[in-house]
This record gives sequence, C-alpha cells and structure tokens, in this order.
Amino acid sequence: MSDFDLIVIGAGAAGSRAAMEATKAGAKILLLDEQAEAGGQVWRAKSPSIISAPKTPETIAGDKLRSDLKLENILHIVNARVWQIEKNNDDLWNIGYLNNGHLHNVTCKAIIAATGAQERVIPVTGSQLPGVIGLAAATALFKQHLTTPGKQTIVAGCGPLLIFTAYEILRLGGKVCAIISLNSKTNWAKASIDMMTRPDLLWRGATWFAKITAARIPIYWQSTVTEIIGETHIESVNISAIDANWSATSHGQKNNIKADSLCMGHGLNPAIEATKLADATHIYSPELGGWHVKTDDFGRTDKAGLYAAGDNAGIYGAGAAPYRGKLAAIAALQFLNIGKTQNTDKLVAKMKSAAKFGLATTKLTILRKGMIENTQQTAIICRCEAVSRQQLEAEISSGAHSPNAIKSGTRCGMGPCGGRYCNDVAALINQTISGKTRQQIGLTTSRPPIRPLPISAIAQNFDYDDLPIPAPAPL
Amino acid sequence: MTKNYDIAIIGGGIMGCATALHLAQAGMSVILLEKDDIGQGASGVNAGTLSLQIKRVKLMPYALKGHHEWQKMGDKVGFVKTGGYTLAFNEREAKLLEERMNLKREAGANIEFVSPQILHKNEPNITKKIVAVSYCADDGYANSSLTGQYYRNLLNHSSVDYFEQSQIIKIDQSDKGFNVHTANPQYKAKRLLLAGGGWMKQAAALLDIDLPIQARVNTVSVTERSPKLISNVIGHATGLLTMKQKANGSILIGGGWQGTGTPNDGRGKVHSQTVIPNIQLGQYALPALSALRIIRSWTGFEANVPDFYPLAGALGNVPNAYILGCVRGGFTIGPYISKLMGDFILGNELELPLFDPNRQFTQTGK
Amino acid sequence: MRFFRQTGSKIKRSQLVEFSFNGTTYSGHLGESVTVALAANGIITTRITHDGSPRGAFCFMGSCQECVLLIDGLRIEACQVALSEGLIVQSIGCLIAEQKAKGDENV
Repeated sequence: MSDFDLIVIGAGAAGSRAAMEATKAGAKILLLDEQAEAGGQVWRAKSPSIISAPKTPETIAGDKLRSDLKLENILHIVNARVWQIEKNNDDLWNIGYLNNGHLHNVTCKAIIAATGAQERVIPVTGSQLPGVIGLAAATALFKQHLTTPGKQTIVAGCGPLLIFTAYEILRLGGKVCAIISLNSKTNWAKASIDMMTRPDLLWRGATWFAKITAARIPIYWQSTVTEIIGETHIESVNISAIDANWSATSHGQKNNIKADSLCMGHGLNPAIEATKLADATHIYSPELGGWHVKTDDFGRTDKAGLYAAGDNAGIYGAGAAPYRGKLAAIAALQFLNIGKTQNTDKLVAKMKSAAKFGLATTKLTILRKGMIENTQQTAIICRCEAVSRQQLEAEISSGAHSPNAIKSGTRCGMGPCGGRYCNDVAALINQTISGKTRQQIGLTTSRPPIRPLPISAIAQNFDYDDLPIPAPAPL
Repeated sequence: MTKNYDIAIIGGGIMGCATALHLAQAGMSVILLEKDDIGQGASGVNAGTLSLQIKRVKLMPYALKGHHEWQKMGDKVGFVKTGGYTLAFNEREAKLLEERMNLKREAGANIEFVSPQILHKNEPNITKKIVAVSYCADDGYANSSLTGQYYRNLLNHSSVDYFEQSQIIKIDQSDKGFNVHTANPQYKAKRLLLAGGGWMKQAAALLDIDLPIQARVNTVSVTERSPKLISNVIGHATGLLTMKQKANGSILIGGGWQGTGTPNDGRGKVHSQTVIPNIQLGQYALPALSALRIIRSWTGFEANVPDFYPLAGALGNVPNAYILGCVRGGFTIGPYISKLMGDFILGNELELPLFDPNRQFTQTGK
Repeated sequence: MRFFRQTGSKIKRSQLVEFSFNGTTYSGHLGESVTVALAANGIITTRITHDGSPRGAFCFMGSCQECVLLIDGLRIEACQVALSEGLIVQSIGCLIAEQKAKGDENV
C-alpha cells in the first residue's frame, strides 16, 4: 500500500496544474513545494511583509493559481524540500522530504517532477562579488519583496529576463545605469516574429522596451560584461562589444561603467536534480536550455511511474507549462488506472502552440561558442569552493575528462550547492580542451540530498537503543 | 601490427594503477584499461579512513605496510596521521571492543585502551556517554577523492599506456596470450591482471571464471565545512562508524552502512533507511554535528569473497592470468599489496605471502 | 551600498521588528526574508570563503547556498527565512571568530 497515488514535486505553473488535474480525476495526491507559497518562479508570491501593492499580470495569474489550488482542496505542503527519491522493495517510489525542521518519508506509485529551471550565469573575473546577482534572482527579489539590489544597477545578459529585469527596476522606482545585451536588435526583431503566437505577451514586451526607451536608459547591444571590478563588492563593470560568436572583440568598443549592483544572467537550465536522482535518462539540447530529462509529449520519462512537466523537461516557458502539467497528469492517471481515457490531441496541439513562444525566447539565450572565451583564467567557476577556470583547465589538461573526475580532482561542484551553478560552465570549459560534445561529456553522478539536509532533523527523536546495528565486520 | 604488451591490467583503481606502475618500473610494457575514470570506483569514493583499529587481524601486517605507503604518498593524497579513538557506548560494546582490540594489538597494531577522561581532554566535543575507548596513534586518513588525480599524474609520467572509458567486452585466450576487446580497439598482451574492484565478478566472467564475489554497497556522507569539532579519526566498537574532519573543515561519516544496487546496474544508490541511522550514530558520538548539514551522500562498491580475505595471485585454470582484489580494507592495504602482486608477476621474492585465489571458500563470520 | 525597499505610492509594508546580526541590533519588516532585511541595512556580504573572498546572496530562491547563516542556532539559507521579532542571526565567519576568541586554537 502506498501513501499516495501520485506525488507532484514543485507547485509552479506545471506542477500546480498537474496536481489539480489528478485531484479532479480522483487520485490521492500530495503536492510538495520548497517555497512558502505556490506559484514557482514566474508566479512567485509576495512576501508576508508586503501588505498591499499594485497588481501586475504576474501577481494576478499567481493569485488565481493559488486560489484554484485552495478550491481543489489539494494536500499541498509548502516549505517542503525533497532530499531523496528512491524505489523501495515493493517497487513504490519513496520520497524523503524536510518540512519545518522535520524529516518525512512518503511512498507513492507515480511521481510528476515539476521542478522548473534555474539560472545560468557564465562567470567572468569578479562575478562572485557581493552585489552581483542573477537575472532570475532579481525577478524573485522584485516579485517577493519589491526591492531593488542597489542605487545604480546594471542589467546584463540575454533573453527576455534582461528586458523584464530592467523594466521592473524602473517600475519599482529604481535606477538602471545601463543594459548590456548579448542579443542584437536584429535578434530581437527575428524573435518577435516567432513570438507572434502570443500577441498579448509580445505587446507586454513592447511596453517594457517603451518604458526603457522613455527613461533614456543606455542599451549596449551586442555587448558583454568582461570584468567586474571591486574589492568587497561590485564598484564598476567593464564591458566590450562582441563578435557574432559572442566573444569580446579586441577592436570593439570598450567601456567602464560605475554601478553598485549588477543583475546578470545567460538563460535558464532545466532543474534536473530530482529526475537524475530517480535515474531517468537525460539528454542535451541547447535549444531547450541544455541538459533536461527526456520525455515524450506527455512527460513520460524512461522510468516507469516517473513523469516530468514544465521547464525541467526542456525550457518551453511559462505559457506551455500548465498544458505540460495537465498532459503529465493524464499520462500518470493512465498509469494509475484512474479516471477515463480522454482524447488529448487538442491538448497536445495547444501545448505545442504555447511552446512556440517559449522556444523563441529560449532561442535568444542559446549560448554561442565564443561566450566561454570571455571567462578569464582567474574567473571563479565554482562559487562554493572558489575554484577558478585555471584550476579546472589544469585538471582537464592532465587527462581528467569526465565530470566526476574533474569534480574529484578540483572540488568544483563539491560544495553545498551541489554543482548546480558550476557544472554547466565546467563542461563548457571541458569542451574547449577535450573537443567533446556536451552529450559525450555527460553529467556528474547524482547524489542525495537534493538540498543540504540539517543533521538536527536527522537526529531528532533518536534513541540509541533503536539503532538497527547489523553484525560487526569480520575480525 | 598491434603492440603485444607484457601485461594488460583490467581496472584503474588503486590496485590496478599501483601494480601497473610497479611493473612498468621493472621494465614491463603495460597497458591499463579502465571502464570509467582512473580512481573513481571505491578507490576514489571511500571514506579514506586509514585506521588499524578497523583492520582484520590476519591482514594487520599488510595494513601496517600500507600505512607506510600512504605516508610516503603524503600531501598529494591528503594523508594525515591524526590518531584514532574507537568508542563503546555500553557494556556490550565495551566487551566487544576489548576482545577485538586485544587481538589486533597482538597482531602488531599500536592500540591501547584509554580512559574516557583522556578522550574528552583531547576530544571535548565527543559525547560524555562513553563506557570504553581504545586509541591508536598510527591512525589517520587520506583524501580518497584525490586518488584519481594522484595516479593519473603518475601514469602520465610512466611508460604505462592507459585508456579510460574503455570497457572490456571480450577476452580471447590463446597460447600466445590474450586479446582484449573494448568497444573499439583490441589490445594484445602476454599476461593479464584482473583488478576490477567492485566489478571483479564481471571481469572474471570474461574468462569464464565464476568467482563467489558479493559486492557490498558502502555509504559515505559529508557535511559542509565546519569550525573544528574533532581532531582524531573516530570509530565505533562495532566498526559501523568512521568519522573524521578533513583539513577543509568538512566532516566525513562512513562505517559501511549498505546502500542499494549492484555493479551490473552502474553505481550504487544511497538508501534512506541506512544513511539515516549512519548519520544518527555519528551525531550520537558527536552531538555538535546537529548544527551542520549533510551536503552529499554516496556509495562505493566493495567486492568480497565468503571468507573476506583477498584474492591475490595466479588464476589456476588460466595460464598467465592473475587477479588482485576483494581486499577488506583495500584502500589502506591497496598500495602495498599491489607491490607484492607486482613482485609476484615479476617472479621476485615476496616480503609477505599473497592469497591464493583458487582456495576453497568457506563462510566465515569470525 | 545596500538594497532599496521601493516605496511606490501603493506599496504598504508590514511593521518594523528588531533582530540582531553578529551582535548588533537592526530592524526590518516582519515577514520579509532575512537576506533582504540584512541587505536593506547595508549588509550584503553573507559569507567569506575559505580563501578569504566575500560572497553575497546570488539566487534568492534557496538554492545557491551563498546566504547560509546561523539563524537561531541553525544553518539555513537566509533568503528562505521570514524575519520575526528578536531573531538572532550570525554569520558562520563570526561563529568561527567567536570560537577563536574563546581560545580554541584549532578552529
């Protein structure tokens, strides 16, 4: 007997929809999310410190999602951090999670992993300094706290988050000193043709550009941050024009811009820790944000009873996420033999149509091959363990070519974040030396816990006499 | 024409690498084939404990020599001689500790019993619920994650040809020697050494030999960096806890708790029902662990035969084929027993005897 | 430098409460994340790495581990903790310095 038919991990746009769909069909489900409220990153809720604030399209959609979840009476545990996923002896999934300082173990027949995406930031010298935050990080800060990261902020990187971040700072009343965009105006013009599928969103994007233009914010098109200067925090930023491969050109325009904060991001990576731990197959597709869990249109992975919905199965964006959640729920319900079979052709078509917009925005963030050349030897790749590009290159050049071997030799990815922010960059550096494809390079072996696990929770209510001590080792 | 090597070594862990280096130094042409990466199996993921208090009585002479080898390897493998305490929390464990440590002392380990007061003077953060303690000044640890880097560098500076990501799919035998097939190239060698670690059963099966090998799935966990909490290697009378604080401040918790999976399914998996009690036992011994977080748990395969003694010698029914593995305490003993193995292959006189792999296996618990 | 809680006309925030960081008293809004409360008070360095370089909050969603602090005695990502009255917050570096001051040379 399992505790639940289905456990959904992640209460963002995809996971929430999956949970609602499965509940409606009569499945016994549990929705786990590590944030304090449902909504994921796109529809992140305001902190309890905000009593009232102007509504935005994101807050309206997020509030609707949260009230829908309440209406469905879904068993939704917030602040729940999944640390372990494994199969038990009865071939059920066993999920370990931490909630408010306590450990819990629950079993289920099926899992939908809807763990979303995470930020990708390609480091340069100084990018580890306080005052430098990610673009997605900045949007979390705005949505949750209506707070800006400084008095003089530079916004740098690529894709729609770049423009949204600049717009949000202005909307909230902050100051943007410059926008440093890897994308060219032409890139944006081309992307907007693909974005015609969602005229409403395209129009919103146009209003962001309009506000930025009206505020006379300098935009450096086809440029990149080459270095961040500062001792204890960011003081200024060096920028340079780039070539078609996104590599800083020696003859191009160079500038130093003073700032007390920098929001920088280079697209999103699917968050694959959960599906990796569950042993599903993952594949590398640059147009989908890099490594993602391999699924069909219904989110079926190659592990029985394991489904994935949303950006962790490839960055299709927030528009497609609810459809992907619903499709994964339908597939999981079929596996569970719950509810009626339904015609899903229309739903698949809707998902694919919605995905077009997301794919067009993701396309703006596909890293071109010169990007990694902007990362200096002294740049810190692994923030946790302070490992530089130079150290990585020395290890790779001595013959350590697999991600596990590089990690062991340099400690890159051995810190508390678990390599979440450095594995991708380490592999880009590996490519420049080994010449292998990302698929050939592969991934590090998955290790629990997915997030650091407090020993205080593990040791709680522990009685020494209950310790299951096996027979001692042979003498 | 393909080169005909003097020996092909299957497996690039400590034993495969150390034997390869020893043979190459003696003038043999050596090829080493590793299915994954150098030193990334048990050699690179074990807890790194170099403790005489957890070595088997009969293997003690090998462990003492092994310690000496690690000491010589020094900083490059993060070797530190810290001393080690083994704790007993109740009368039953105290009795076990006394029995076991006395035998190990008789076998040559520098083990003494000390009072809880002495323990707490040197390790003030260890729990006060102590009934008995043993101490060995020779105990310490090495940083197993540096094993791969260490041996790869030595191999790079040797005459050994080595290939990683080279899984063996077939071995042909003839009177001239062996044809070793990987997915792509084949290699020829006059002799063959199986040093496949956790994957030894699979390696031997390529020669149609069925060895009664079981793979244990040992679990290790590590905390984030912490201010200094312990200075010595800490063990438990049952052998089910090893704990040490590395130079970087992180605390490593092991003790042979069993994960799940088999070498056939790739890497093993951490099992919540064993990793939790492992960490609980660690926290019981060191209450201050409560302020820290576990950032990673993992497993490594350890191959064993029923009598838990090594397989080290010539394979009786395949001429010119040798085997080295299944060494309980293989991390400690590995660098030394590999030299013995090398000497055996070279026909040199042996400092200590090897362990006939063709012996009859009987179950042993004691 | 510091973070700015924006004060547009329609933004209303909760009451201010006091908390301590490394022994000094600060104030912040009830329910905001400890990371934001600190940064709004000008504290943007949350940890010093083993090789002495400063780090600050980076992801604001509980995954990068850069803002892990000792909050009421437990190590936790400060961006995931809601501020409450009297919260005792300490940096890990401060904890080590304290132990050194107590005469523990091993730290």
